[in-house]
Order: sequence, then C-alpha cells, then structure tokens
Amino acid sequence: MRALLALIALAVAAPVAAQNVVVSPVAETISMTVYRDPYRGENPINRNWPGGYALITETRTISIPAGESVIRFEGVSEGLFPETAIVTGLPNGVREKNRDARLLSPAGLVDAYLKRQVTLTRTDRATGKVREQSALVTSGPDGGVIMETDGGVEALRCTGLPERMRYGGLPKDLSAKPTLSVITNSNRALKATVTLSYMAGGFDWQTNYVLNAGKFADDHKIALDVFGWLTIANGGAQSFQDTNLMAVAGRPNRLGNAALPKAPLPQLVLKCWPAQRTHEVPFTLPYTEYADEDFAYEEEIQVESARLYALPTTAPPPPPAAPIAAVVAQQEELGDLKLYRVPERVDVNAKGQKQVAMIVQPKAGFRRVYKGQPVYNGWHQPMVNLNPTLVGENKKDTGLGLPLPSGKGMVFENAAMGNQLVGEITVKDRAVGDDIDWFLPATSAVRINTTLAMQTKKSRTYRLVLSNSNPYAVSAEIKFPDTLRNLPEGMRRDEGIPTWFVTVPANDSSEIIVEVPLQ
Amino acid sequence: MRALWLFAAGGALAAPLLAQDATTVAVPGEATAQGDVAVTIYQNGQSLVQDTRKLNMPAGRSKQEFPDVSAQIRAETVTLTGPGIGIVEQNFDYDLLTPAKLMEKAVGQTVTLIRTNPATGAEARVQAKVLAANGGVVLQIGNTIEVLRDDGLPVRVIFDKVPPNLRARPTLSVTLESKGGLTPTTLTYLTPGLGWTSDYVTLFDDAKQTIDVQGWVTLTNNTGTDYTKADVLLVAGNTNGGGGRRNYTTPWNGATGTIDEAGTESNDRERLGDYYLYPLAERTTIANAQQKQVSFLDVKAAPARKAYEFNNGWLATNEAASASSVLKFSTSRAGGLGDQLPAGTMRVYMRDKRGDPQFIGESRIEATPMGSAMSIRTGEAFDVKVKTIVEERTRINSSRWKTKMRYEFTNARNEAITVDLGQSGLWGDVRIPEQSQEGKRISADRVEWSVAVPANGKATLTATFDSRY
Repeated sequence: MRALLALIALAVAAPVAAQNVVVSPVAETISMTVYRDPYRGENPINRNWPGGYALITETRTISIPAGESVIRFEGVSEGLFPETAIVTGLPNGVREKNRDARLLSPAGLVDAYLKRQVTLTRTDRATGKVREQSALVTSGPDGGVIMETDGGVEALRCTGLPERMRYGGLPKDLSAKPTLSVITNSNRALKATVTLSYMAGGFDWQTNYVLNAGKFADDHKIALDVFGWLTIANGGAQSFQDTNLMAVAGRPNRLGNAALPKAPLPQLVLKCWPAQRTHEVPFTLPYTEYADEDFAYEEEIQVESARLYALPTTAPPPPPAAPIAAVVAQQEELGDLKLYRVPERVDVNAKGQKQVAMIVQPKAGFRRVYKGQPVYNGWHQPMVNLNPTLVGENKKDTGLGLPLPSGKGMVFENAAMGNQLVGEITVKDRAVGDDIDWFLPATSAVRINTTLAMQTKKSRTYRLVLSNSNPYAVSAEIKFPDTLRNLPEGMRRDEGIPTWFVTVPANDSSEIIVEVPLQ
Repeated sequence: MRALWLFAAGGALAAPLLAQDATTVAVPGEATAQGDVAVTIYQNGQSLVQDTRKLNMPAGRSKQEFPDVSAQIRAETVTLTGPGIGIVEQNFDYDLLTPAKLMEKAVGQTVTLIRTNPATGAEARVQAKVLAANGGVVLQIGNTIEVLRDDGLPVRVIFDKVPPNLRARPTLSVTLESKGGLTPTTLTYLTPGLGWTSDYVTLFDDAKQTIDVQGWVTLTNNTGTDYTKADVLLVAGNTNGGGGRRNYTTPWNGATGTIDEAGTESNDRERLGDYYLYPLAERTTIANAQQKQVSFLDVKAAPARKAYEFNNGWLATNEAASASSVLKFSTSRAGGLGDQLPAGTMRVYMRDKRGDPQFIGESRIEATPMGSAMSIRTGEAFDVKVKTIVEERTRINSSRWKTKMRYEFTNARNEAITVDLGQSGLWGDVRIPEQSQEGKRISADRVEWSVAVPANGKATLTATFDSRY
C-alpha cells in the first residue's frame, strides 16, 4: 500500500513541475485524547464504530524542499474530520489544506481515461493467443463502457470474450485512500518537525466500575471497594503505537460534522444491451448486468458466514477478586472538564478495546437504603418492589472525594457462596461533594403495598405497608410526591417531596397512613 | 483532469479515433479545456463560475461545445459573451451514451458480428441488421432471424459509429454567429455543489484570560468537475430568499444564541451589497470530491473570560445538572477579534498540565458583525451543578398558585465562581413576591439571577412565584 502511494506521489510530482510532493508516511510520537459519545446515553459502546471521537496529535519529521510543496499525510485515522486538522511547525505556515476523496479504483480509472487511449487486450480461450488493440474510451463509467477501435464502436465485455483494458499510467489525483495534504512554501530546503492535530470519529470510552460490597448486614453500612476501569475503544482500522493516551470526562459540546464531499462510486458496473435469450421467457429485466456470464456468475458467489453458539461446558468463572492496579490513570483538571492520563505509553490497537485502572478507592463508606415510590391510582394499588440503593457522598471523609465519571458498574456481595454479582448499575457523572445514589435492580424481598383505606368527599386515606422478608433489618426511603393534609410522624420533606424514612426489622413489616386532600 | 472528455462528442465522432495521433502514453491530469476561471462561492450552495476561453471560430454560424463545465451546471443560467459574437441558440443535451442506448439507436441499422469459435479461436465475420432490442436483441442475418448470443457463445458486436446526440456527459453547446478567428469569450453560469463554511480554532488561556483565534475557510466541491487554477471569491451571505419582506412569519434565520449584542462596526474588507467578500490570495485548483481549507483570520491574545450559565425552563424539581461553561469575548476592533465572523463552527482548545492543547468543546456561530459581544457555550461543567427544587406549592385562591422554588448551587472547583441562572416560562403575568437576592426580569417570560458560589462550596437561592397555574 505504502509503496503504491509513493508511486502515486511520483506520478503527481511529474506533471506539476512547480509543486514538490512530500509524503509523510508515519508519525513519530502520538498523543490521543478520547472523548465520550455525547448521545450514547446508557447504551454500551458500539464496538463496530464507536460514536465518540478523539483528538489525535502527531509529530512527524519531514524534509521540505525549497519552493512550493505538497505534503501528504499517511497513516492517519480513517475517521479523520478534515476541517479539524491543524498543522504547525512549517516555516511559512500552511497555504491551504486539502482532503481528496477520489480513489484509485476501476471506475476511477475509466473516468480518468475518458476520451483517451487505452490498450484493449483479448485472450483467445482456445489457443491462449493474446491480441492487443488500442481503443478510445468513448463513454463510461456510468452505465457501461463504450470504446472506439479501428473496426468501429464496441461495448466493453458484452461479447463473452475475455477482455481487459490496460492504462498507460497512473492518473494524477487518484489515491488509495482519502488523503489529507497541505500546501506550503519554503525559501530553502530544510528538515522540519511538524505537528499534525486532528479530530477523528470511531473512538469512545467509559468507566466500568467494579464494586465489592462485602456482606449485607443489619447495620445498613457498607464498606465499598470502588475500582474503576478506563475502558477505551478504537473502532477504526488504524493502530496507534506507543501512544500517550488520555480521556476527557464531562460534556464538551460537539456538533454534527459537515458532510464530506462524496467520492464517485469506485465500482465499475458494466451494463450491456438487452441480452435475453429465447428460452428465458418471460423477460423481466430490461438489461442484464454483466451479460458476460463467465464473468458474471463468478461475481455472484456469496459467502455466508456461519456462527457457532457454543454452550459453556466448563464451570462458571471464579468470582472476581478486586483487581490490583499496577498502573492507574492520573486525573488532572482541564478547564471545566476532567482529563485522565495513562502514565505510560500504550498501543491503541485497530478494532480494539483497552482497559487501564483509573479509580482505586477501597473501603468507601456507603449505606444500603431501599428506595422507591408507591403506585396509587384511584382503586388500583399494585405492590411495588423496592430498589436496594448504595447511598453515599462523594467526599474525602467517606473514602471518596474524587470525580466519578459516568459508565456502568457491577456490584458484588461477599455471600456464603463466595463473591457473587448482585446487580449492574448505571453511574452518572458525579463531582466532588455530590450525593451518590446507585440503584440496584428492584427486589421482591422488600416491597411496599398501598391500600386505599378510606375515602370521603374531602380526602383519600392510604395505608402504606412496607414488608421485609430479609433476615436482616432494612432502612428505606419512600417518596410520596403529592400534597398531604399533614405530614404524619415518620415522614419529612426531602427536596420538597414528602418522604417516609423507616427502618424495618428483620422479617417484619411497618406501616404509615397518609391523607391526600381532594381538591 | 477530465480533460477533453467531450472532445470527440457530437459531430467530431464522424472521424473516430481523432486523438489517436496523440502521444501513446498520455497520463491524464494535465490538460483542461477551461480557460481563465473565476469562481464565486456563496454560502447557500450556489456558485457563480466565469470561464474565459479563447475560441477559434470560423466566420459565420458555428456550433461550439463547452467541455469541462460543472457536471451539475444549471444550464438555464448560462450566458456567453465575447467581442463580435451573436448567440443563435444554446443547447444542453443529457441523453447519455450507454451500451443499451447504443443498441436501441441501432435498430434498423446494420452492424458487424464477429463470432469466435470456442474450440479453435477462429473468427467469422457476418453482417446483421438489428430488428429490435426489447429484452433481447433480435437480428436479421441474411434471410434468417435470430436472437443475439442465443447459444451463449462469444459474439462481438461492432457498430459503425456513435449515434448523434448521445454523449458521455451532459453537454453544453452554443450555436453562434461570429466574424471568425481567435476570440476571447466568457462563459458564465451558476452551479450547485460548491459550498463553504468557516472553521475557527480557538485556544483559550485560562490564566491570562485570552484567546488566540485562527479562522479557516472550508470549501467543498461536489460538482463532479475540477476548477483549475481558479480565482476564488467567497461571499459571506445567503443570496436565497428574495421576493419581499417577511412580515407575517418569523423565519428561522440560523440564530445560534452566540451573539449577546450585535455589533455596529465595519472594517476595510471588500463588500458586495450587505455581504462581505473573502477573496483567496492565490489562485487555486478546486478538485472534485475535495475539501479545501484556506486561512483567513489569525488573532493572538484577544481578551476573553469564562462564565457559567444555567437555564431552568419550568418550575419543577430536577436532580442536580451541570451548568454550561461559556466563553465570552468581543469581535470589536478595540479589545476584541477586530473582524466580522462568517457563519461556521468554533472549536475551543485549552492547554493541559503538560502544555498540550486539548479540545474542550465547540459551538456553531452565526454570521457575526464586527463589534459584537459573543458567548460561546463550550459544554457542561463537571464541577458546577444546579439542583432545582419545588419546596412548596399552595393555592392562594381559585385562580392563583404560589410556588416556592429553591435553587441549590454546588461548586467543586477550588475557585469562587458566579453562575447566571435563568428561569423562563413565566408567561408574562407571573409575579415574584419574594426572592432571596434581587434578580433581573429581562423579559416578561424570563428572570435572571447572578449567584456567587464560593470555592468548594454551596449557595442557595430561593424565590416565590405567584402564577395562574
């Protein structure tokens, strides 16, 4: 590939005498800062093409000849947004930046050689004899190729004969990949260290928390081991070696990128005249593509991929012990955002997901509180299961006090059968000092039953019964977002909403009566 | 690079292989039929192309074809001018030459078939008349009728010539009367497919409270044609939407909320009516399927400051949400960027601890006059949050409600900040009988407070709203 591009560069260099073409094939140092997909919500990272982006900064050493030159950058990410490219370090700056999307392809060659001479080669299937003939491309590549030879006018590959076109040289401006290039001027030949910085799509990251909750017990207190992975995904086809890798938490504004110019279709689709034969009735197609059947049917071979769903034959994996981090990404401030820096240079592989520890906070003080909200709607009052919730404060004195970026988490409880998963949680961005509510899946072991106890013209009275079938006491907070006649004992306002704070003993239940005025 | 692609079209086809005498290895990429090209690109996707070509014309009436015009040319907008020429008619033909069309037009005519014996490779040449090309091709060979390639064996079909009025590309031709000789002519037309926008690279220095701004014009060419060594002029403005004042509706005019106060200054940039012009300093080739960027603005160390904003749309309880980080600066000559800004995207960078620039957010900006006060929302602040709480809602009488709101501000940064809180949705008749700090009713619908929040601390604002609902 690289050799081919170098060849193109040579071909380009020849016709435009005034411009030298310099190809910069590879970056020397790479820094990459990955930003999250702002619109992903709670969905997982799309590993095929992650929806976030990265700011990539590379340094390259380039020999610049005197005069005007075009510098082509190779080995950049395929998700490059060309309008974000910044090139610094050139002696006289950059006159213009270009991104060309016309590709070297079968159709691109026909397009470039329209009204030009090519060599048409036919091979006799019986004897192997090769006959060459020069031809002029009269029309193409859309809708077929028509050539003019000494004999007259013919359509390419409508004959059933093996035919091919040979071209005299590589056309200017056709490249193997969309290419970023800059035009610069220099008074003298020199070696410059150039910094190329650009944004590219196809990257994403999130934090994956591993939370070890110890054993659930009567006192509602949990010493939670908080461990966070910095999970970075690269969905592109370009690997980045020895990269200074960073990630940014927070929500910088990001707009949709302007549509890039569309390259012409690279495929050469040869259509012929109507080619139905007598036995093929009734006809449905006005013409056939690839009327040359020898050629056509080869093209239509389809490979169906099969997938095996192997059942696990071994025992489930052993319970995860808390990972021990040898390298932890360092956090620093970046304006109103948070920057995480992997302290060592790492490889970011093409189509790869990478994890480095970013948060290690053992024994953070949390409480286990069951939270929920009763459903009451006229006569219909179903039971509601409550969510066990890990409630904490992001403060130094509770064992945290550091920014907690959004992501997903797994909560493990050290039960009799070993460390077992009790649920997966969603984590939102939490700044230092913020309250933390991490909701585990609702459990039928602790639930609330609401009954309409009495109705008068002036009010409805509900009885809320909280039942606990656990062998340990639970602490619960039940929100009742309505206007109440009086706040009953046991209820107080939390953020303006009447809330029942209660502790239910092991295998027991508690109740409260609330009166809602009718207006 | 599509050089000469129409060279042999039309009448010239009578002599096939016209270009065969040319050098055998002709690598495309050098020649173009375009002359001195000037392209004016507007921001609504229309562009004006002026192409001055020297045509060698015979005296009297002649038909001139114009290759290398935009493949998306709006043919109805074409004007050809030159000394001593008069236009008879202009034609734009777009019947394209394909194998199917070639066969269709050959119905009733004689073609040559060359059959190849698959065993021996021997060729047999026969004349055939094409009777029909419906589904398959029906031929008359001598006195017998058969279907082309009914046996599936190889047959070459050779046509004598390309039928007239079939072309590889849509073709513009002008029939004109001239005195003859080499005449400079100017071809003017409009084409869609060329457009431009601006991209601004802004580096914010928090310590010095300054910004460095570089402006880039970003051109895109989707017309299917290259414009070789063109003189490029960019017009900041939209020439669409003429046809009277709009009194009855408020059209969406691309407002982005980035202009706090529109400026009234102007500078010595060239203008066209109300539009600013941005000529490119040097001639450049705009290739097809290319995105090109050229610098037009470079300002160092203009003053800028950071601010925080939070907007609450309705009186409701919401969990703590981040305030917006806002960058404020001016485009005035004194203490600002000193230029007008064409509509585009502003990307803001900031240096990290090691001094490397990092991206901190971007915002669309609309065309901004010089002297404007601007605020760019770069993103949401991780450490600055606002929680809105409805503390109490009571009925005063049958038509009025009282809503007591509490706004809680938290700041996890180690510096004191000010958050501009806006509460909208006040519908005009909402009164604010009590508030813990004086706010500014900037419109009937909206009230704003500037709330100071200490470093690593909290602040609370309370207000009571008297409303109909």
